[in-house]
Amino acid sequence: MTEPHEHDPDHPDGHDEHPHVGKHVFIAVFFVLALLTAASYVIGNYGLQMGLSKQLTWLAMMGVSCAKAGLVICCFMHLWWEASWKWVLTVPTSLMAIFLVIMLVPDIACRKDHYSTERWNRAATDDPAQVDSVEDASQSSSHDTH
Amino acid sequence: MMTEHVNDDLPVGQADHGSDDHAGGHIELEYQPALPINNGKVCLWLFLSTEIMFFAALIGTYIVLRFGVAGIWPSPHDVHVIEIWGALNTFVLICSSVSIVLALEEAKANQEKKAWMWMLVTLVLGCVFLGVKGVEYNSKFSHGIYPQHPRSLIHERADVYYVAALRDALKDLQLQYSEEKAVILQGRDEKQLDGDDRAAFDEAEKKLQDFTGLLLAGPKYTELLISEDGDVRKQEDAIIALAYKVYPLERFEKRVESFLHGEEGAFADQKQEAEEALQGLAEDAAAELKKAAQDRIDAIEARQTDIWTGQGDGHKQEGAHGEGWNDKYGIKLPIHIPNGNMWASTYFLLTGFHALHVLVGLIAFALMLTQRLDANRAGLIENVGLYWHFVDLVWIFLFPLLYLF
Repeated sequence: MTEPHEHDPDHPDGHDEHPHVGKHVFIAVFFVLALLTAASYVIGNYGLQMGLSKQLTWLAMMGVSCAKAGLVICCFMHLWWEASWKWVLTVPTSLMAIFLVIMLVPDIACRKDHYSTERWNRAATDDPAQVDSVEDASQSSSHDTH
Repeated sequence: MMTEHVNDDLPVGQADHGSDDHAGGHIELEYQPALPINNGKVCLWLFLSTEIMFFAALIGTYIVLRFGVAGIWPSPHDVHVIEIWGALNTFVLICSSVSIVLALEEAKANQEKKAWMWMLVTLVLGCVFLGVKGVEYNSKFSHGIYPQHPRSLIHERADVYYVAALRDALKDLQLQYSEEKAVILQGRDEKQLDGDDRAAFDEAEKKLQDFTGLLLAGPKYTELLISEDGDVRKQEDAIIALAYKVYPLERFEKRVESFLHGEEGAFADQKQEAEEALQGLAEDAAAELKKAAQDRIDAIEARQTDIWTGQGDGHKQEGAHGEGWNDKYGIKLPIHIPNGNMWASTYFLLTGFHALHVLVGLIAFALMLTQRLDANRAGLIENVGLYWHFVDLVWIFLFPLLYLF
């Protein structure tokens, strides 16, 4: 990718501020994105057969998604070539977004930790003690059929 | 962002008063952009930063609900989510991202015709995305997967309420075809029918028999079993087996098979017991008692016929579960999907808000197509493009989360 451009702040004109990026860069990024999408698909569908653990496939797919997001933001949205104002807008919002998710964890993500037996009786699952074994069995059987 | 410049031409005293008495005209405001980009782009980026938080909240909530779920989250095939459609849509959005970038490049180079072409390509690709989304939504709706009752057929638990709902639904179907038969007859005798009426009558008769069979072998027999067997685990197995017949979930396949295999040996004893009970009734016993005893025998018999043991034609739908009663008979019986309602709520909320953003993008593209897309419009195209890339960005995360996890 092209080196970040030292920006001249005296050019407030919207479209002339970054150096000319050749179309070939966008086309190259497009192919990388398509390839990464295929990689996600393969990991998601065949990851378990390839001997990866479920958690590892999740991590790999999220990693691929972040890479794709990075490419789109940097290249297609031109943020790579923008002046430092880009940090002002993106960093605080991203932090707030992340904190927002973390704030949900104690009450929502960990809600099961404090379930009473009565609450479990009304949960959508059939038998909490069996959930893990059933889930593992279903995962392996559902992937046998592909 | 605005810098005050005191007008040097004014007498010093007046200039001082200018800030005290708020009189207009004494202060000249000069615009000094704080950011080295045009106003439109600043606004667009401010808007996008709110959008980042909006979608981060939605996606984050989904992640937290999905991984903190009590029990099992529905697998994609349980709810008619087909991976390849999601991958296709991802690819379509990537293509459209490139085409809008190329539209901007052409516009900058003052190639308005080429820019217009790429804008059109983007619009078409966006429409393809929404079209695929529509097909996907339809496959959910046609199987009774909606985010909300009363249209949603999803029951989260395999319990007596599920069996009762199934019984009621089948009774409704029974009633519907009994009435249809009566309508076709119009007071005539069955033997007087000919031609179309005859065929229609036979069909209604066949359906009536089918649904009566399903009612007996399914909910009736299951309720019988539940009332007679106090073993909670076995009761649950019986209901899950019933739910599996209506709408098979792969994860229950082995459990259902072993349960059904186990029950085969018991039919002979059950039937004998039921027959003895009927014979044991006094001659003058209430008609209802006799009917209940007869129903019991019928249910046990129906359980051993094809209507229960038959598995449709056994074929598995493309990327979905095996064929159940709902598919085989083209009906909408209540279905059992643990956490299915939570799944439907999150899926339709996430994809719905995303689709809404796509729709807004398409409107913007359509409006742009009415303009001359030359270098003067490059700023506008860039802003619309930024918005569109953001829509693509959201989908990049939704695709693995909704289709592959």
